[in-house]
This record gives sequence, structure tokens and C-alpha cells, in this order.
Amino acid sequence: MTTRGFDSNCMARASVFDVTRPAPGLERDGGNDVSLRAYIRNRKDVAAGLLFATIGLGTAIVASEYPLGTMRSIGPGYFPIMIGILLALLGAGVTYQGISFSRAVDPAGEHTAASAEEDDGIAVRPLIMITLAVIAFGITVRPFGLAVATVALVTLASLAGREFRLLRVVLLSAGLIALSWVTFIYLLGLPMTLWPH
Amino acid sequence: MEFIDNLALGFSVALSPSALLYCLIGVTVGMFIGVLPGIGPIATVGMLLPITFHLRPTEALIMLAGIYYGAMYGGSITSILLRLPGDASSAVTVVEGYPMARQGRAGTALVMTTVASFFGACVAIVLVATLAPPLARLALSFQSPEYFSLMLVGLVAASALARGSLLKGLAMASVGLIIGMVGQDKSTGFPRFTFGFGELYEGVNFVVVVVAMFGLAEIIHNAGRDPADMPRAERVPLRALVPTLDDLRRSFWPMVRGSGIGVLIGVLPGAGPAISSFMAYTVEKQIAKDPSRFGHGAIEGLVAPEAANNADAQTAFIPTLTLGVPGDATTAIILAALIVHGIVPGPKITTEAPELFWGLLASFWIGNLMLLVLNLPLIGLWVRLLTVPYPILFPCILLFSTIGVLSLNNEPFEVFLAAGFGIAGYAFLKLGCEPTPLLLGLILGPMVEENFRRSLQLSRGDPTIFLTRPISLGCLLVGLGLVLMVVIPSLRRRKQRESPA
Repeated sequence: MTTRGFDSNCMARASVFDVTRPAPGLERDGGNDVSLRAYIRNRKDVAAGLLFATIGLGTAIVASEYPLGTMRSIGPGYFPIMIGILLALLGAGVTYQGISFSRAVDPAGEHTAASAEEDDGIAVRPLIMITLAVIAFGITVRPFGLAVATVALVTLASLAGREFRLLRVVLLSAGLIALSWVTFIYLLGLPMTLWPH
Repeated sequence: MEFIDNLALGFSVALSPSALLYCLIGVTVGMFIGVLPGIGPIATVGMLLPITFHLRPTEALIMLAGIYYGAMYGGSITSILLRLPGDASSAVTVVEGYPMARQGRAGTALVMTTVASFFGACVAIVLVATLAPPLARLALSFQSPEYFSLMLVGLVAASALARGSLLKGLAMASVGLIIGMVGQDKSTGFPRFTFGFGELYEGVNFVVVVVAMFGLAEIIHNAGRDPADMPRAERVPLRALVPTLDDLRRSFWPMVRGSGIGVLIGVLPGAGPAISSFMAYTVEKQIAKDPSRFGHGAIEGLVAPEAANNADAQTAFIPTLTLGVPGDATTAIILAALIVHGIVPGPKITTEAPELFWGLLASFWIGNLMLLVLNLPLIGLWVRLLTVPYPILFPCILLFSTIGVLSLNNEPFEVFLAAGFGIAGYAFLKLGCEPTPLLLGLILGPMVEENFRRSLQLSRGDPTIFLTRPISLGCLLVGLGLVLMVVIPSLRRRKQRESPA
């Protein structure tokens, strides 16, 4: 939560529905066009809404194979279908929030850019590297022990950062292996080995 | 003198050497990790939760609670020194705390937040001790429909008060309910959403989701940033550690009001400490003689929210323990920990496990006292800890989180699952969806479904049972009121925007 930090936390109370300014130029149109247009006001809402709708529908469809039961004694399919449909409807609602309907001309498609949102993009490299680091740990810890798994995790995770310093990775791995051996294996007695069998 | 007897029992438990030790470990470790930038109380509790599985229930709970408020205090330290709140509830601390630090009064600010927290805790403990038994007696008359409606209100409240829109919050809660359905159905044993993975029969462990959504997602979000962009600790002169008489005089009534607000909000299920601290701040600003001082290091605006969020954090254990309906994400985790230990929270807990209930309560007070005493000599250390650069920090956090997940069942599958939920958590973060309602949905999910099913059995399939029983109807009306409170103003805004004059 930390980095989105104070501003976003505080702002949150102010507006419950995400409020983004309509794209510039909209108010000035003054009704020379009669067509009702929809434009994307907030891409995040639209994407989130579609994601929710997909999860909801998916849940309902998968659960439709499960026994439904009766109202008196509901089966394993009843609740998932109910919540799935609810989620699909909520998803539609969230999508609707992100779309504005306006009797306005769209000057050169400006509106679709959702100019009011600021977004620093997707952190592709950290996303891949951190995920790989965790998976690598999971794969290596049983056959090769905690030491190898720690080195794998620390190395891959460090590749997510801006700069990769070998010495830092070596020292960090060594320190963490020692620390986690003491804490998790020696003190807490978790069933893990430090070295390969 | 039920009240005195209960507290006496509580203190006899909490003052036992082992309880004191685990309380001390809890607050110290919680504070230590809470101070590290990038981890809030929820992630801290989630990460350390598996460790407590090895302890006896009372000790485990005392340690978890210690971690919780230790981490909350750690969040205040980073808020004051670094302008970096650990979570929403310490966001308010930044507003007055950081300017105070800039004025060279960081020491005073740090000491006064501890004093205010302790004050809030003292007020809360008295209230909890008085209120919990009658509430538990009332709750004895609760049946499935009441529980269902109460949990529904909890979910709606968490959604309505989450950052972002109400619809997104409700959607996240529903996603949580769905994740909670994975595995064998409680009543029939029918496997759901397992997609052929035998490992999923037991369901998705909530620790996996907590670590992924509150830990991994944040690390992914921050790891690639330029370390120079990350906030750094100012060199804070720590002179003036001791608050002046004027500071104390100014702080007293704000702490009283803050504690009152915290207690009121705390007993509501689903309303976390963030709300009470915001509310306490707003109240202080409203009634101040000179509101212009606020935002420039007004001590009233620092201590009132601190007292409020601590009082709230502790009264939140009333609905958690006596009703089994948690107040916020952290108490939800503690609730789940109770269940892991085989203790079913509910109205009978005060009579069936009195040493646990009252021992926990007394340990809050002792833990807060420890924080107060421990902190003063350690402030210098916290300041130094804050200067550890993120590129060194995040691999450590990542490793401990991953080992935490692995240690649940020694099952690498859960580590892979965490990696998957980490990606999902990052997607939700990018889409502006707060994970708290999801977590609450996940933990309450099985109970919600079970009580829904039983209610329908009770009424022979008639769904109006939720409306014909007074307590259940009352709960639902509260939920509806919350929704309207949130929806009406924003609908009005939307209308204004869409029909520009």
C-alpha cells in the first residue's frame, strides 16, 4: 500500500466513483452534433469491469455443471452461480462507470485517450522477474535445498531492479541463507534442508 | 464485579512469563518489519502468521496481536520520518507528523504517537471489557439468518469504505467469495473449481493470497523504480524527545475524542481503523480554534487519529471474537488464525475460552506499554533502519514471504499459487481495485455460504427469512444505508458532470 502513498489514500474519501475530468474540448461543443456518443472516460474502470464480468461469467458457467440442489437444500452449484452472476453484473456496472455518454462530437478521437488518468505503465520486467524468482524458489527448494533456492530467488529478484550488482547479490544471498537457516530451520524447525540431499 | 474478575483473569494470563515473552517478540518484530518501507501491517501479519502456528493458541494470538499493533506503530514511524505510511490508517499521521519532523520535532511526534496509542488502548480495553459480555449474550440468540446478514453488512461496509468505487469494492468482495469456494464444498464434499489439481481440494490458503496481493504485488510495483525516486529519511534532529507541557495540554482532549471515535467505529464489523483515523482528524480540524495550523504540524491532528486507530484496532476484536465477523483485513487474518488453532470464534468464546479472550485483551494493554517503553531508546535505530535502500530490502522481503508460504504445508504448489496471485494482485493494483474486500470475502466466504444454506433449510426454501427476522432485517437496513450514503452523493456528481450547463 505504501507507495501509492498518502495522496491517493486521502483522495479516496473525496470521490467514491472514480472521477476523471471529461476530455478537454467536450464542454465547448455546445450541441452542434446530435449523435449520442460513448467514449471511454476511464480505461482502468473499463478494463476492471470487463475483467470482473469475465471472471463472473466464467464462474457461473463452470459452476453450472455442479448439482444445483433445491431451495430447501441448496447444492454445491447454487452459491457459485449466484455470486458469478452477481459479479458479472457488478462488472457491467464498473464498465459503465468508465464510459461517458455525451451528445458531442468527438474531435479527432481525443476522448478515447482518457487523458485525465495518469499511469506509469506496466512494470513488465519486475512483473516477469519477481514471478520467476518465486517460481524458481518453489522448484528448487525441495530437490536442492534452501541455499540454492535462496540464491535463485535473490538473483532473479535483483534482475527486476534498475541495476544489477553481482557483489550485492552474492553478499545478500550469503546473509539471507545464514539468517533463514537460523530462523526457519534451527529455531523454528521447519522441515527444510539447507543443502542438496 | 464481573468486570474486575474478567480483567484479573486476563492479566494473570497476560503476565505469565511465556505470554510476556511472545508479546514482546510480537511487538518488536512487528515494529521492526512495520518500519521497513513497503510493508504494511496486513502484509506483516500475513508473513509472520505461519510462525505462530507452532505456538499454543493463546500465545499465538497474543503474538499476532502484538505484531499487528507493533506494525501499526512502525507505520507511524515511517509516516513521520519518511512521509511513507504503511497503510491507509497511518496516512493521516503523515499530514501533521511529517511537518513536525521537518520542524525538528520528530522526536516529540514519535513519542506523542506512542502516548496517544497507549491512551487509545487504555480507553478501548475498559470498553471492550464492559461491552463484550453483553454483546456476546445478545449474539447467543443469533441464528444463521442473522449471521448471514451480519456478514453481508461486513462485506458491504468493507467495499463501501475501500479506496475506489463501491462497485469495484463489491466486485472485489465477490471475487474473494469465489476464491473461497475453491476446494471441497463444506456440506457435500463436492470438489469445486479445482481444475484437476489435487492440491486445491483443501481450498486456497488465505495466507497465500495475503502474501501475494499485499506483498508480491507491491514489490512488483516498486522493484523497477529508480531508488532515487523512493522517499528517503530526512536527517531528523532528535532533540526535543520529551514533549513540552504545552504539547501534553494540547493533546489531552484530542486523545479523548479520538479514542471515543475509534471505539464507536471499531465495534462496527467491516469498518477498519482507516475510517476512524480520518474521522478523528476531520473532527479535530472542524472544532479547532485556528484550523489554519492544521497541515503545518498541529499536534492535535497527530494524536487524535493515533488514539482513534488504536482504540479502533482493539475494539475491532469485539465483533471478531464474539460474532466471528472481523472488523477489517487484519482482524480477518487473526480470525482465520483462530480457526486454524481449532477455536471457533462466536458468542460462547467469552465463556468457553475465557483465558484466551481476556488474556488477549490484557495483552493489548501490556503490549502497548511495552511499545511505549521500548520505543524511546530505539528511535535512533528506526531512523537508521529507514535508510536501507529498497534494492537490498525487497529481495529480503520476497524471500521471507516465500518461505512463509512454503512453511504453511511444506508444499511448493502453494508457492506457485502465490506467484499466480501475485500477478493477479498486480493487475488489480494497476486497475485501481483495493484488495481488502477481496480478502474479507475470501475469509468469510465459506461461512457466508454455510449460513445462507442453513437459513434456507430453516425457512424451508423461503428466501424472505432474511427480511422477516428483526435483527437480520436491521443488519440489512444498516448495509442498505451504507450503500445509499456512498451512492447518492456520487450519483449527483455524475449527473452534474454529464449535463454541463
